[in-house]
Amino acid sequence: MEKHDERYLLKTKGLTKVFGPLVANSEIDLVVKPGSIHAILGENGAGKSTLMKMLYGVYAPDGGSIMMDGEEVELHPPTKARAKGIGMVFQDFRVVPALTILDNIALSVEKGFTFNRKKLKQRIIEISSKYGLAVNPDAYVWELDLGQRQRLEIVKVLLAENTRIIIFDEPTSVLVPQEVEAFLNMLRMLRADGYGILLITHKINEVLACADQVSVLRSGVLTYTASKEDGLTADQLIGAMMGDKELKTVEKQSGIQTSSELALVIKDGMIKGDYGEVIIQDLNLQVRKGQIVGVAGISGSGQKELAEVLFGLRGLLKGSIEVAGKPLKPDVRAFLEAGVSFVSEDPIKESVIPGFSILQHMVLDGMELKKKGLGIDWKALAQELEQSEQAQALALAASSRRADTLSGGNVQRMVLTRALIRKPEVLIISYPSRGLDIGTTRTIQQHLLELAKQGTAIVLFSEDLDELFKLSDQLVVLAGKRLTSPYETASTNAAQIGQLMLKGESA
Amino acid sequence: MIADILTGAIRSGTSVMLASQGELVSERAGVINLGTEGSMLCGALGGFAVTVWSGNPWLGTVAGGLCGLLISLIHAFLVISCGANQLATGLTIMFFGMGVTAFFGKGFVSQQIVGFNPVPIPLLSDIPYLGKILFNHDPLTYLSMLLVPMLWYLIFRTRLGIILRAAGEREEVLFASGINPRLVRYLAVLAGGFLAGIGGAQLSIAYTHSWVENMVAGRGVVAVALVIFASWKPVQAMLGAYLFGAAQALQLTVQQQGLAISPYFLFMVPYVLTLVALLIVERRKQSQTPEALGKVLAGSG
Repeated sequence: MEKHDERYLLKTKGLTKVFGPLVANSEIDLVVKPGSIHAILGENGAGKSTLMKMLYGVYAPDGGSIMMDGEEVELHPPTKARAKGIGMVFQDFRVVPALTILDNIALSVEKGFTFNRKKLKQRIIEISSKYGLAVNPDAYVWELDLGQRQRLEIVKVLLAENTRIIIFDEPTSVLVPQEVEAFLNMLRMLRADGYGILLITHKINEVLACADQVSVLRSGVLTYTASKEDGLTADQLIGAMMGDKELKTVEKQSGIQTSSELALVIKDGMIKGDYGEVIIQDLNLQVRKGQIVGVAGISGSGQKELAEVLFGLRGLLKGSIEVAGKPLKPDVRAFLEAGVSFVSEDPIKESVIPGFSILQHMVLDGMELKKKGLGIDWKALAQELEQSEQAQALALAASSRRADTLSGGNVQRMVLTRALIRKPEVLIISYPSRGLDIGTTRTIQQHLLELAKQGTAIVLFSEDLDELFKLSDQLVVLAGKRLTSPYETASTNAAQIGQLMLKGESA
Repeated sequence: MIADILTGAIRSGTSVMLASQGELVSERAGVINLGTEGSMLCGALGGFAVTVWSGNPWLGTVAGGLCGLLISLIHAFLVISCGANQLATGLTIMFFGMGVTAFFGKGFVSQQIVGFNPVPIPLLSDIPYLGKILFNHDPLTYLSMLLVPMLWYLIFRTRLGIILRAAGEREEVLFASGINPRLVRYLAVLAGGFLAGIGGAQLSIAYTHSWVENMVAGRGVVAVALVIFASWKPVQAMLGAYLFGAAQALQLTVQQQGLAISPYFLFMVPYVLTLVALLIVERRKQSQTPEALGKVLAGSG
């Protein structure tokens, strides 16, 4: 009998999922064992999420089978998966911000129309202290930072009856370095208590730190499986993720003297949010020509508002902002004319008109026009765009494609091309690699470095500390309604920046 | 005179209060129902008609609630099942309610009923000053006072309330918990229509003891506004409704005193007061609007 040859919680055989012409998962065989951490590694778009969504019952598989307790099971819809003891901690947390932690948990854990608040609160406190998941049951979710929201999700899953398998979808992407360590410790505790853990990630360090088993997905196919006893190395895993694709290495040349000319200065600024609350105070920032200043911070610390100020979308309440020595009023046109380019943190929402083609977006944004009679010579323009060095390097989609047909990654490419093609004096760029695969990410990073070399001042907002360290000359941190003074990248480290992200400069 | 105005505040505020509690339930689930006005009108006429036929105001009250519920069913179907724009649909239903009650109500205009009358509560109504204001009302008013704490408990202390609020905030989360948010919304809108209908019935059976064409006169719309004013909280909505009632009572008192102010100007006062209240509230810093509702109000729902 197969079920006796090894202990397992869940086993898939030939699991396949097809979306139209795209085979998202092809013939996946996977085993989840009790008391073990199984990492699923892969680039964006490799099919990790699809696989997890099948195991959590969001999608019904198009082929193959899933076995639990020695028999074939059906997990779709998620209520069935949960009844079988599978829980999932999503990347975009499935919580209601307007409710308290207690209410959110009651929503998914309790069954009847009324429930015993005291008892549930007691259970929440018990389980959260057992695994070091500090949460306050009476706090509203909108008050919580992302790390706390994640802890809420985990408590929710642990409180559900009979949870045996927990799927984590990119859990550390919302955490600062110190929290990552605590999170990995918690995973180890869960493992010790016999849970089967599936960890989706693209961070190789974490895999090496805690995984018992690794499976690598590439283009929907499981290309590599290994366990800890086989000995795991970073090179092996990167190789398995990338396949034979060539990977550019991005390296910042050290020792380049940036010019002393100031491109962008904010003095004693104060920024208020949409509801009139103070977002950042005592704001000072200097960026020299050819310098990349990275802005780190837990998301929601004022990155969006600061970026908007730097592009004239939002006014400073106090203080002044100067570009190339000239004070500017909050007026996007003035900033554009001064040579400032902007890539917003949510380009799909803020920079895209769904019914317009890529080319039309470029023209709308001020690409230099070629006239033909009274109108525009669209053909010549399209040719110029498609042959431009920036478009080719970023593998921009065809210029006639309508924006609403583009994937998130392709929209990002369009927005970046648009920003780079102007050869800006100052570039404000938020989360340049969000939603892109490693290859494109590296191309973009290379481009940013080159742009800086040519004298562009760059303010880089990112959640990815690796990226910030790789690209920036100086780092500043947003925390506690303040922006820290600059830290030279060469003389600081992730632990110090992480500390600043959590506590600000006073700590 | 102040005691008179306060008593009047409760007496004439109760219909608005019932409707606003109903609308509150509906909006908590993410559906704004301007058709509340229509539900109130139908409740007023239906309740009055059944009271005329049966002589029993309790039957009339239930009938009024059911009439309000039926009207809100149209709204629920168009908005939740067909994805129609909530504001446009609600407005249309409001005018539909006016037309349909004007048409069927003609024969009832001169009818007379006994209806509900104030029942002083023994002992309590003897409390000096307060007794007269709080404990000398018709039975529907007493029930509506009990409804408010019950609704508060339901919304904030039970899982049913959490489900209701989640439907108005993030329906994905409800889906993930295996609950159908559409069903929740349907039930919330119907409950809202039922309460609005009873509010209308209170107006015709207990307050005026008559049916007059378009007698609701914008109270349904005020009820919707009050819910926003009250930040979707039952107790605040009750206070808002009584404030509106007080303005009405004030207007009546001023007329009785024979002051030389145009009655048309006085009719305006309660609505102006409501507008001012909304203006004050809209300057609050943190938005309390349920997310799904915010989308509707911003025009993308």
